[in-house]
Amino acid sequence: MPVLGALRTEAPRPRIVREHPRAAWLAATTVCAGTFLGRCDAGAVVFSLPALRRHFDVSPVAVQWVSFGHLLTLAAVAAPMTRMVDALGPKLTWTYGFVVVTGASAVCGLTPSLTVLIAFRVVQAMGAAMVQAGGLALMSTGVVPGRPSTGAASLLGLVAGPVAGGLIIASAGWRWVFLAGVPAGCAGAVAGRCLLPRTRVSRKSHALPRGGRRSPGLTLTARFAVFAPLVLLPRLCAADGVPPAVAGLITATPPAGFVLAALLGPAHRTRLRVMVAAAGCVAVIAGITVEPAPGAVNTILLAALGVLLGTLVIARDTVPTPSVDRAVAAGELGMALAVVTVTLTGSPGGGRLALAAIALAVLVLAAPIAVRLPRARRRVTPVTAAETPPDARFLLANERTFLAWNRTALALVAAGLAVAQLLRPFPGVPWGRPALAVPLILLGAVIAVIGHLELSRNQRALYRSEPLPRSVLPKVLTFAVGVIALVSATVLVLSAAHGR
Amino acid sequence: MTGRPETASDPGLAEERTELAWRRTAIAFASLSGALVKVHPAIGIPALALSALVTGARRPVLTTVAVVAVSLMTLTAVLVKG
Repeated sequence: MPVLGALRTEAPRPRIVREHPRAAWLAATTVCAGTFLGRCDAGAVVFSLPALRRHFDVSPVAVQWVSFGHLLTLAAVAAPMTRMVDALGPKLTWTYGFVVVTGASAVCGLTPSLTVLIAFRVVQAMGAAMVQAGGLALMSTGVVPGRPSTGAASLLGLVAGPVAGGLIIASAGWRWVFLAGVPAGCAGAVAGRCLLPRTRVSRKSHALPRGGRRSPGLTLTARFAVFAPLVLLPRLCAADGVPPAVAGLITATPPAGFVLAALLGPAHRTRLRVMVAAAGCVAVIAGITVEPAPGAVNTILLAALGVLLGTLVIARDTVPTPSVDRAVAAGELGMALAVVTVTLTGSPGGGRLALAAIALAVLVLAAPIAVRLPRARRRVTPVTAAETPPDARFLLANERTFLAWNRTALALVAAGLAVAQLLRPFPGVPWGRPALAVPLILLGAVIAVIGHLELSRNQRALYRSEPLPRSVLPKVLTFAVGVIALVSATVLVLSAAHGR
Repeated sequence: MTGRPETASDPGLAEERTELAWRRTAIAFASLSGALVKVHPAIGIPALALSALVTGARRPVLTTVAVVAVSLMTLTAVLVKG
């Protein structure tokens, strides 16, 4: 069986890639791109459900199987796929996974019926599970460095999914949400073949860590709380007649908040902050429940909900996790449960029951995390026996940095005011100016607060003669400006399309 | 944590640079408040009063509170004015 043998043989990377000084970085980026595409697909497909329902003229429950079947399959095959990794090796599993995704995406995009679509979404999920298992194995064995980057890629995928879904549906129709998987899948397979290292030599080491002692319940609850708003928001937007492109931006608001929380990560890992974040989540959900229809106020509340939820989910990292394959399965099951819950409770009362379910999940998630986390540390006094007064020039430099960030914050607020007052309205996009101005102004407030936190933190480090901690502000600013640039491009494209 | 220790080392022109940084921040704050008065006087005048606080107090905590407050005032003005 030479063909079978050839299919089971890992091809080496091209020499130019293998000997490139950044070969490891290329491999890590490839794995992160796979994670990004998986999450992006989940968000975009959830977004296409209202359009699918109209096209096939079916019930809301029937159409949810497009998403539910996919997630349930991912949960079910997560553990078996680790055995496939043992047999084939991570590189081949990853590459063949993308081949399966490509074929299934093409059929999904050209499907004549909902049944065929659901069936091939299941096939697509098997391919996605292969990609996921191969990527995890590559990361866990250290063949590809950069495990934290997959978390960032996953979060960015959650942000990009709804935005891409909204834009594709508004401009090309729901079929292209699936057909977009064809070029992405081809690129993934080629990248897997050319950029990932051969790993069969040390095959035994690919087995993912197993035998964790903790229940995967926390992972399941966390993924439920994170994914449920992403399922609920497109429904609320569709029911309220919001255009798909705008609905995509609104749906991307909570995951954008997760990203912000992830950037601020370690600072939030105290019991008090987790409890405050949980209380804040419940308060924000209560605020949204008063009037669930999408609008400017609810968009701000959703961003706040994203930051608070992200704080909780990141704090979960401090709790011992189950084995990797169980965690993956629990996570996918949590997302599938979110789809079911929102389907069953999303319609009556404008989604109030679904919002209540999210609030309940937040409380269930927060309680065990808070118990396991340490209490907040007491504030340090300026000078104790262990501290020495630092050179005044360092303190003055720290103060000037704080002031520079404050001026940046003021400039952002001024930019937001200028956008709202000086720009002419965008034709056909009445929400364009507020969509640009509000994030700029909020970003100014956030930067001022973080700037002060960093001033205190740096001062403490100077008094203790410790190395200065790294600032998160450049990352926050870069990410936020990137998102605002994306929103600006969307507004301009929509306005230009309306003008034609 | 806001006081500066008295050390033997000569801070050189660091004091002056910091002084100028405070002035630039105060001017930026006052300019934004002035623009806010133009857009919505009822919101802008309290913001202008806050700029006096930033100029006079020179305390990091108060400056942060003032910047966050003026951000929220600007947000209110933008949402009210449409």
